[in-house]
Amino acid sequence: MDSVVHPLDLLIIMAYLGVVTWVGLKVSRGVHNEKDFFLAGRSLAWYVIGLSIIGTNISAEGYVGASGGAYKVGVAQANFEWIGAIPAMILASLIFIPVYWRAGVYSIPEYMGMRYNGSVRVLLALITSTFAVFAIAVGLWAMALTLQTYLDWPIWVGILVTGTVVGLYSIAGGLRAVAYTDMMQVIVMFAGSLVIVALGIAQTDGFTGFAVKLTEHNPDHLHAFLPADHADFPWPGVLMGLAIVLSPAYWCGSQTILQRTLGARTQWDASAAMMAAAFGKTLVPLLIVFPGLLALVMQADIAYPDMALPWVIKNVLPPGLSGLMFIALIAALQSTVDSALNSTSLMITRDIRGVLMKKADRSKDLVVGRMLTGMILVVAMLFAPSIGDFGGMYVFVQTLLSLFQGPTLALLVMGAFTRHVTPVAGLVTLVTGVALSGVLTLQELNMLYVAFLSFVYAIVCLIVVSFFTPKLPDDVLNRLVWRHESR
Amino acid sequence: MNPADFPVEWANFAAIGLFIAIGFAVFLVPRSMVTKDAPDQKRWRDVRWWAIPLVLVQLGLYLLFT
Repeated sequence: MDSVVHPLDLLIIMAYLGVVTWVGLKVSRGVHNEKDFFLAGRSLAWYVIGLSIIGTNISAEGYVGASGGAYKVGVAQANFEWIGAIPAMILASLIFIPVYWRAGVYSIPEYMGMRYNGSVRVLLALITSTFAVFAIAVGLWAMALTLQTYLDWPIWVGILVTGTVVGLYSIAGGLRAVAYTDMMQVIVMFAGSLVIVALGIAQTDGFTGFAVKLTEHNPDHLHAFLPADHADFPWPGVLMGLAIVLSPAYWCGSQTILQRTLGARTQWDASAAMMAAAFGKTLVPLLIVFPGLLALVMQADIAYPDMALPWVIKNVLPPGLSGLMFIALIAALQSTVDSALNSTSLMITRDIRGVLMKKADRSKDLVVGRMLTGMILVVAMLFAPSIGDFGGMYVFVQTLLSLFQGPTLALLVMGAFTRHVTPVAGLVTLVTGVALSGVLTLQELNMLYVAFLSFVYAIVCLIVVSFFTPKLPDDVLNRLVWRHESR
Repeated sequence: MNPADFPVEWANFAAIGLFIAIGFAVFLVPRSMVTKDAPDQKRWRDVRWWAIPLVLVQLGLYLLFT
């Protein structure tokens, strides 16, 4: 593939970067303290948050990796957006967001610290922060891969350039800038991807022609579920691991996602935002799954599945539109990395530093948060070049998640719905549950089954240990446990 | 029967059953809880109803890609 970029594409890319940078800097002027930086001063409206959630969720690895996944397994990849998202988003909107709001927390680890103890808070923040650094590295790698395909840049140059641009922007803007630029980015993403769908269908003789060509050599590619003995996505694993554990753990417990709902102007805005985001999520497979299928139908000459989307951008879209799609990818990267950087610096500043260094000067949280944002980004940039050694990016990220999602979800669900579970039980369950996940993963068990089994273990462990350890006082539990009659 | 031999159709049935159950379950949450501190109490503020079109679309998708 030649690497010459059409001047119109370059113009569009430069104009987009200029506008986003201008918006980010303009909004960053309103950041005066840590509440502005981490929670946007609790001022965000539901439609801003809803679009921002979609932007944060559609990451660069989501774009590139899910298209690669669809190239391999077909429509079944969309389960991550449908049954692997919608039920959990409804649960988050109606149950968990009200619980967090009533507790008045900045972060999910802070809630867990109140419901269990400081050790659980620190441990969870450490685990989540570590995962976030991996996720940022994966995002940078995905972007560098696209730059390599599109502009012929070496991987390390792509990582350095994108990391630097995103870092400057994240450090200046805080959550408010992230949310408002996400809103713009999601619109760009949808516009660019819908053009790909339209042109792709036109080039393959309409929907019927597309479906016939797709299933000619890949008969399972239009099935939502794959056989129970499928190596990557066996359907029992998808239902038990993804729908019951991984998805609720993400949508109800991910700090990166939920931080913007904690920055809403009211609890209603927070709940409505999550429900609105679910509508957008339903359409996401059109954006991120379809290009993978299109590459397959058009018999793309690619070395590995993750090259499917870059190939489609390069070969399907005309000049100008390929620039638009390219900025959609930049948008996906920015919105995810911004959010992950901001939430990780929040957790390290408040949930780790705040607990371990009780005498630390809290008035310096804004400065510390900004410094940490830069440090986290540097670590992720150093790690990013190694991501290619792990194979499919989406599977890599999900494998990491499966190690602690089961135990974490058990703590969340039992902590929010029952008064029975105790602080000691929470700590014991978290430590042993993550260890069990690690052991099961080493046995080469499918990650979806690892998540489910560790979740079941954690529920049992919580219940049993709680019988022998002291509960929190009732007045504390009243504020932290969901009560049907309390509204 | 070996779990690996379970028919794929069971997955679609399970998914459809799950979404139907969710469609009913959302109304177990009290209205007062979901409209708490909303700017007004107009009917569209009741986000439980937002879940219904979501569920219907999912039912359509899992019927289509059986």
